[in-house]
Parts: sequence; structure tokens; C-alpha cells
Amino acid sequence: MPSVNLLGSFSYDHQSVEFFVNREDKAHSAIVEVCCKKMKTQGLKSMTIEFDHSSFIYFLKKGDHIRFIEGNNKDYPVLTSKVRLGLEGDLIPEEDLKEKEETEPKAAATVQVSPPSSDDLDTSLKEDHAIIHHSLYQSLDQFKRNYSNAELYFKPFEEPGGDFYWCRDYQYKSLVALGDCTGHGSLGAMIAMSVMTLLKQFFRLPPTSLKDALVEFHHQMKELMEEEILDTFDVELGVLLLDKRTNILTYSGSGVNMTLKSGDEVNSYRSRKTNIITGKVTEEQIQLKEGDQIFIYSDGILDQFDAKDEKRMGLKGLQQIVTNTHPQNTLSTFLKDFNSFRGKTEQLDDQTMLILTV
Amino acid sequence: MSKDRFGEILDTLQAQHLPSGNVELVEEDEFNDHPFLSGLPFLKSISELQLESEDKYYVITKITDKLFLSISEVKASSNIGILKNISKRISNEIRTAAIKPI
Repeated sequence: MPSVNLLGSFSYDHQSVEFFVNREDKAHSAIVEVCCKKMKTQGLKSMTIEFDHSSFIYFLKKGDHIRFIEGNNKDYPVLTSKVRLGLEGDLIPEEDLKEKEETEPKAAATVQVSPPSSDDLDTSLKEDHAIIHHSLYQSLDQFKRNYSNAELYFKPFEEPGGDFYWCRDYQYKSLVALGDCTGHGSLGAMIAMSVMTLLKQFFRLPPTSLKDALVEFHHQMKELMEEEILDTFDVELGVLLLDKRTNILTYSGSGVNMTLKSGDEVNSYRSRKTNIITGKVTEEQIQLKEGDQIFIYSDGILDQFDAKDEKRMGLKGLQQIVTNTHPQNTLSTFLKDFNSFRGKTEQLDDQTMLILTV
Repeated sequence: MSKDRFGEILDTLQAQHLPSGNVELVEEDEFNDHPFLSGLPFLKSISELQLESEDKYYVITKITDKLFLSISEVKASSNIGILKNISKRISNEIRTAAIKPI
């Protein structure tokens, strides 16, 4: 059960706050009343405050009350959905319940879960991460069925991470997708698993139009997530469809870019998530030849800052590194330059680079 | 002053990422008049606010202790996940532009 520091509700009529749990040592409880009153005056339905990228307080208006909860960012989907569903009782720690029972008459039955010891949690988390890794990430051998070589750089900001890569082989075509989901760590992985499930179902057959399929996929995902009240979940995708008979590659994306190296020539193909909203999704068709290399990557690569922590790598920086890669050991030469650019500067996002050689 | 300095960049980024939404910088002297930031305690430890009204989503991201980026979009055109990504990108662009000489 995720740790909850603060849990309670605010009455619109009485302008008063009631805490069910208040074990916060940073005195965030002081902010609750201010925020609830602000929500009332501004007519807001929900509010999330993130502190130092590590913890959050979530407020939700339900009828004449505002419910609120504080927890760690990694538990955001679990805790907020509990609040949305009105299952606050699940979140009250056993010791708090005992205190409550002593002072209050018996309330309705509540589910109680004892928190695991830190050793149990450690082992359990590692096992969970291994299972998630196994289900999210395919063997590179599957990519090598249609490409002469496949190499991968995969470095989550926090294990197991929200980036994923996936491929499906059809009779005459091959599909490769690289996704970058909202969030990091377990939250990102949870979204990635949901998106992967949808992808596998959606692309059972090869698409006739890749860009139309991508728009429809996002449309269906949005509908599904809204049904499940998971509208904070999202993904940026880059999709490659290779026609094995003609070696024509079709690329389309919703935020994940691709760079193609053909001989000494390096070209990048960009896409934006907003194109899905504005209806301006495009696709590119490229005639590939033997030895061409496809670099498809999440934005954590482009957003990496340099050794002085002053300049983002950006597309130009990446193109420079790609230009200098050696075709015989592409990944190692890429990483040598990438790590040299980064120095000891902290990584800020999940980073994935998939290199496919025709 | 940041608004003057980054005005052109903001216009470009808005056209690229949020053609039908709103993008603005909120400077320290405007915090007290801002509908969502005014009166908030612990402003220094707040890294982001995500808000939902009847018809709009808002994401307010801290760039520095004295500068926040505020973006909004109507619900029919976006969701919080997309806005968070856009806000991250614009904030990164502003940070990058901030360290370049004027």
C-alpha cells in the first residue's frame, strides 16, 4: 500500500478541513485550506501541486466537498484513482484507524493492509521490475528478422521507466514502434504496459495508412483512458512500417523523431504530439538501400544537457553525433560521443535509442 | 522583463505547440495578482501545478524561483498529459535561451 501523509476533505459550506490522516512533517497541511478556498473561488474541479518533483497533493471537488491526498509522485495514479473512486478508507493506515476507533464510534468496515518491511519491499520491487521489463521489452533478435542489425541504448531515468520499443512481423511488412510515456519509474512503466496492450491489439493487421492508423490509435487511447479516468496518461510514438518487398520505409510519429543515415547523408524526420490535435499528422516514405541506418529515439536523448549543464543536445547535436558514428560499431561510437557530450550532467528523462541497420 | 526578452520565443513556441491555447510567463512581481499562485505558501518548493476548470486545463511550471511558465488549453483539444509534455518542452527552451547571451 503506498504511503499516505495527508488525507482528508474540505467542506464547501463550513469552510473547514477534516483530516483522516495527518502525518506530514513538512507542514503541508497548512497549504490545504488555502488551496481548497482557491479552488472554490476559481471554480476548479481538480488541482495537483507537485513539490520538488518528488511528492504531490491532489485535490478533487466532489459535490459539496473537496477531497485531498498527499503522497509520492510514483504513487500518483494509485492514490488519485482511490480518491476519485471515494475509497479513502483503503488508504488509512492501521494505527490511525485504531486511534480513530478509540475516539469515534465504529464506522463502516474498512480494508486494512499492513505496510511491508523495507527488505520485503526491496525484493518485491526488484521482482516487479523484472516482470515489467520482461513484458515491455522484446529481444533484439526479433528486430533482426527484418534488419541486418539492431542495437539499443536504453536508460530509464528511474527503473523500470516509461519508454518502450516493440515490433511486429507481418507477411510482407514489418512494424516497429518506439514509445515515450508520461512519467518515469513505475508510473511510466504502468502507462507503457497499457499502451503496449493497446498497440498489440490495434496493429494485429498491417495498417494501410500509417498516419491515419496513428491518429486513430491516439483517438482510441484517449477514449479508453477517459473512460477509466486516466486522462493524465499519455504517450508519444514513432512508428516505422517497412515493406519487405520494396524496401520502402514509412515513418509517422506523434512526438518521437527519427534520423536516417544513408552513406554520408543524415536526415531527420520530426513529428509533434500536437499534430494529433490539430489533425496535421504526416507520414514520410523513404526508399531504403542496404547499409542505411535508422535511429529512432525518445526525447530524453534530445533533452540531455551538456557537460557544463548549459546547452541541450537538440536535433543538431544529435545529427552531428550520428554523422560521426561508425557503421561497424554504431552504438559504441554513438555512446562514446553522447557520453562525452553529457559528461557528469544529470539525466532528466528516460533515454532510448534504437538503431536499425538495413 | 523576462516577457520582453523571451516574447518572440514564446510566440514561436505557442504557434508550434499550442495554437489554440495560451502561453505566458509569470514573473515574481506578478505572483500576488496571479489567480492560482497568489497566497500559496511553500512557493519555493512547488515545482508544478496542474489545474482543471469546467472547460480548460492549466499547467504552471516553475522555471526559476522568480519565474513560472503558465499554459492552458480548452479540454476539447488536449489533456493534462499532453499539456505537461508541452510545458516541459517550453520550459527547457526558455532555460536554454536564458543562458545564451542577449
